[in-house]
Amino acid sequence: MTRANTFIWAALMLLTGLSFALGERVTASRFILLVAGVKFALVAWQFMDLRHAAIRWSAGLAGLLALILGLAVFLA
Amino acid sequence: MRVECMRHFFHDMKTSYQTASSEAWEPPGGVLVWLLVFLEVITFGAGIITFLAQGRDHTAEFAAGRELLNQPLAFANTLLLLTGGWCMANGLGSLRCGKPNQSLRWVTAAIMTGLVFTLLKGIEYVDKVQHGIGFGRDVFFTFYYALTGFHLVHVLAAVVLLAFMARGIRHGHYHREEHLDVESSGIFWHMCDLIWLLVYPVIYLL
Repeated sequence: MTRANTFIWAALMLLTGLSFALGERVTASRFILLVAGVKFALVAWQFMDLRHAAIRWSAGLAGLLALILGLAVFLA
Repeated sequence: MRVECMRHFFHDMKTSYQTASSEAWEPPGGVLVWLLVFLEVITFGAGIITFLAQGRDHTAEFAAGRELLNQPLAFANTLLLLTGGWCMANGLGSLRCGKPNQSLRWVTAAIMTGLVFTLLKGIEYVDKVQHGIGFGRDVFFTFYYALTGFHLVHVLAAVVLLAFMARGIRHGHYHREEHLDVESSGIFWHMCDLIWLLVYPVIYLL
């Protein structure tokens, strides 16, 4: 067990709680999607070890995430 | 003699460069599993975008549909999947450090989170069906069942994969030097987290 993994896990728990609390508010949809993007990036970077891969893999996944979230924000 | 020596020198240079390039190119778990991750994110991303586009045309239907969803259960499932991801990351870390017993405990914990996720999802589905909310009720619930059901199939596949990995660790097939299969299975497991992190807010929260 590494301290970094535990720290990221705690941050993910807090962000999930925040999203759930804000879910009742209609105006928070953009913020909820932004939080989802941050959580996605944290899991990929830390748990999936993308930080140890060539930058093109991180850039590819980040680009895909930005495209999906961009369209989601536009449509939400 | 000198020419032969030079030839060997350049051959070694070329080989070491190719090895270094290959290591830099290869992501953790190997290229194939990452191609799968990209394809799955694209597939679910397309599903989510289509769902949101449909929501613009059926605003009242989507609002009513969300009211019928079990928010606390979905919240608990999100925490479970993220905890499973943490367990798997620690399991792989322990294996890399040469601690197979510790690794086995973490991987088993990850499997347990997947099984509890499946159980909670089953409870959610049964409750819906008992209230007459089936697959073809309306556009919202067609997407709800399609997206969450397809994701559930991935979680079950990941649980089976991790069970095989746990067996391999227990029997000593995977250890400090040999753990690529565990790494690839871990990436597949985390992919289920990634997909859920996109599906959960779009279906349950927005």
